[in-house]
Amino acid sequence: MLSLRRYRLDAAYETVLRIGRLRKPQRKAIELVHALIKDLDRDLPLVPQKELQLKASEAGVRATAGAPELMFQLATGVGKTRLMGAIMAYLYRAGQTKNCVILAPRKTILAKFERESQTSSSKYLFLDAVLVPEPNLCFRSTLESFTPDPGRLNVFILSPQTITGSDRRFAQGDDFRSSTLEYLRGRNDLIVCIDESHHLGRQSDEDVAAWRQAVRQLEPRLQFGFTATVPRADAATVLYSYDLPECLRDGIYTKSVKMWVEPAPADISEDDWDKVTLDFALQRLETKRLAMKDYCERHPENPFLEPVLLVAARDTEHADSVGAWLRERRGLAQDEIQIAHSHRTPSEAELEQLVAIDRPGNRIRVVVNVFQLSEGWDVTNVYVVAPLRAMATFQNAVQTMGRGLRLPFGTRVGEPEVDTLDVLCFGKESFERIVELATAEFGKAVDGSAALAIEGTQGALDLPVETRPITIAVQKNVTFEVPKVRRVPPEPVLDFEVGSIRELTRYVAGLDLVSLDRSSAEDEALRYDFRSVVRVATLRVLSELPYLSAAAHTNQIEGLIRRLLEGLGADERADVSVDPVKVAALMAEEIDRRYKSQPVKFLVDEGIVRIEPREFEWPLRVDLEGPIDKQSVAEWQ
Amino acid sequence: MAVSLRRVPIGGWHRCVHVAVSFESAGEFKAACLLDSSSAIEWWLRNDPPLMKIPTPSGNLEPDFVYQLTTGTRGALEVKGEVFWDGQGSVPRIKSAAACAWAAATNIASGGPGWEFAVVLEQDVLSASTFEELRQIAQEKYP
Repeated sequence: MLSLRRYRLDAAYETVLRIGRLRKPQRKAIELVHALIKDLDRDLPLVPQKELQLKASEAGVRATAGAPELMFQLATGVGKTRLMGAIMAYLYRAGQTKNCVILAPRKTILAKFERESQTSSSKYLFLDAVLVPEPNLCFRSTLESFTPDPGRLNVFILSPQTITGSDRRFAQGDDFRSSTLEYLRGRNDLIVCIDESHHLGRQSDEDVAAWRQAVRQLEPRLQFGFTATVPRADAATVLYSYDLPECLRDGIYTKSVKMWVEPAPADISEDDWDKVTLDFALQRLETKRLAMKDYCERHPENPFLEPVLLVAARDTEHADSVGAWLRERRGLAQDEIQIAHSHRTPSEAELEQLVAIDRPGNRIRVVVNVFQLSEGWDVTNVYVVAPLRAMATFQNAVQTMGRGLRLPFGTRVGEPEVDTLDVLCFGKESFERIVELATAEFGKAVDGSAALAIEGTQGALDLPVETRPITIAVQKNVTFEVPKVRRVPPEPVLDFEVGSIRELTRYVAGLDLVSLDRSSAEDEALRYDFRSVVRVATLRVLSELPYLSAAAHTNQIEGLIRRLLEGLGADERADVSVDPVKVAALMAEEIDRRYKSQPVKFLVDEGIVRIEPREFEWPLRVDLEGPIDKQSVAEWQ
Repeated sequence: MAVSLRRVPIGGWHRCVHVAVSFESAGEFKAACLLDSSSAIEWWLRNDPPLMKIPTPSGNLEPDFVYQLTTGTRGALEVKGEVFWDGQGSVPRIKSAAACAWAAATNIASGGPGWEFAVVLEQDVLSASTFEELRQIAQEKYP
């Protein structure tokens, strides 16, 4: 019997490893879980609690009163969610559980779990529908209508607040059914997974006690925590750790980090130093933009993503003034700046908007926030991080850098600017002090170089000077007239030959179309029904291009996408492993390029617009009496 | 550390509408010098803050300069950094092609001396010695 059990466990473990395409740290973590389960002499539902605690403590984890708490620390961007899914898939396939609770502290994260628990998601939580074909899902919104299914994996995606009793729907049943709480307490195979589990350690004692108590009342067999930062009090429950220093030293799964250090001079005002910092950050952002553009042009399989600068401001008022300065003095458009207002927590609507910034077509270039953006904001295109004023310390810079570590194309691409996150530390700490702190915390990389590169700005700063407004007068009174004309929108071109576009073919082929080779790449592509890809991609193209209408253009766009897939060898009768979102982004770009490249026609309207230049106000440096004479400008600087 | 001239008002112009104007780059400054020293120019306007906007499929084009020739013809001039002047189908090219079409349409509308338009690369501005030469080597122009 023992050997049969082992065989079942090993088979489940190997299947998850083979199909899950896990990264090395994820593989190591799941290997430890597998070893722990294998070490039990019975399956999880049958093993006494004492034995479980004993085995956990043998694995090096401090014993706790209830179910053993096993914590995984993985640096941001390495893949905590995927590890959680892998563990649940393994335990399910190994016959250890059919009931899992996932607890996540924020609505945005819960919504993400809810989306990704659907088998149709391109980031399917349980890695592949082959591993967990059709989980039976219970969300906050379906607590009252949910019916457990003994034949499937029942997954409860809830918030800690829901289970602490603030949600009556959780704890109270009715005449016809028992409550979710009763159901869960009655399971002998219950697993609880807590996302961003350090929240349990950061809350007030009362909250911690309430949450821990609430988890305990569920009487799970095992409890797993997933976090990037383990609170000191919980260090003893860590089963496996792959923290940021180790991750940066390995230099594989996240961007590398370059920290730019420039201590603020003593005689400069906070406002002026903000401007110096922001100008330098914008300069770095432009460098990233050009590098990204260049890279994406050479690799059309990766669509261009606008690099984003994340600014950490002191408070809402400061964030507003930074936003206004960027608009008025640096010419950023209204829709290129997002201010995440917050002495309060950012609203879910704001977060929804923010999570969309790493989709192709995003226009936002700068996000100004008040140190509130944390978990749930896992975009990949933050390339420059600039904490201002009191936040510009080494420790705060390290804390903020997590938001910019994820790689937009899944792996490093070999272009230093595209592979590197720039973090500015323009505060009071000296260069030497920061080097000292960085070496202590991050050590050296495997090749002996610093895991965290530190750079001085070496005079690259554009120091601001104080200004006063002056009036620039008119010296030639002129008026000119512009006839009124109207641009005639052309018809979109929707009958082009997709197969003949070499770049297009390369782009889509790069997505591993119709390939069933699951070990060749680290991407997370899943197989989709051919017709679903056509339908979903068509709808996205229609919604992205305002001059297209569903009534007039659906058939033609469907035809284009169909021909594109077929031209590359896809067959309507078989599934394809291509992301419909990427297909849509590409097709929209191709249609838009043709649309906008058509000769522009203007129709002449009646009337004219009369323009009369007038005097205007302009900022002049206080050390100048008036405008500079052009004769004195020997060379532009 | 050298203090940048970027956005610092510069005066001393003969044909400029305003007593002083500011620039973002060396190319813009040089273009202003060429406009100011050309006897073919009646007046020129630095379009910042922007008064003139040309509608294009990729948003408005706000030319860097607006000018009037002594012949009565008016013109719009855009100076572009090389790094921003991308291949066919790129936004700068779409905008400049549209601006040429706009100039053509306004000529029909006005009946008299109409509008001309040119987009020039910063590097070309820096090597040109007259405004007329600059228009000769424009990347895109109408007429």
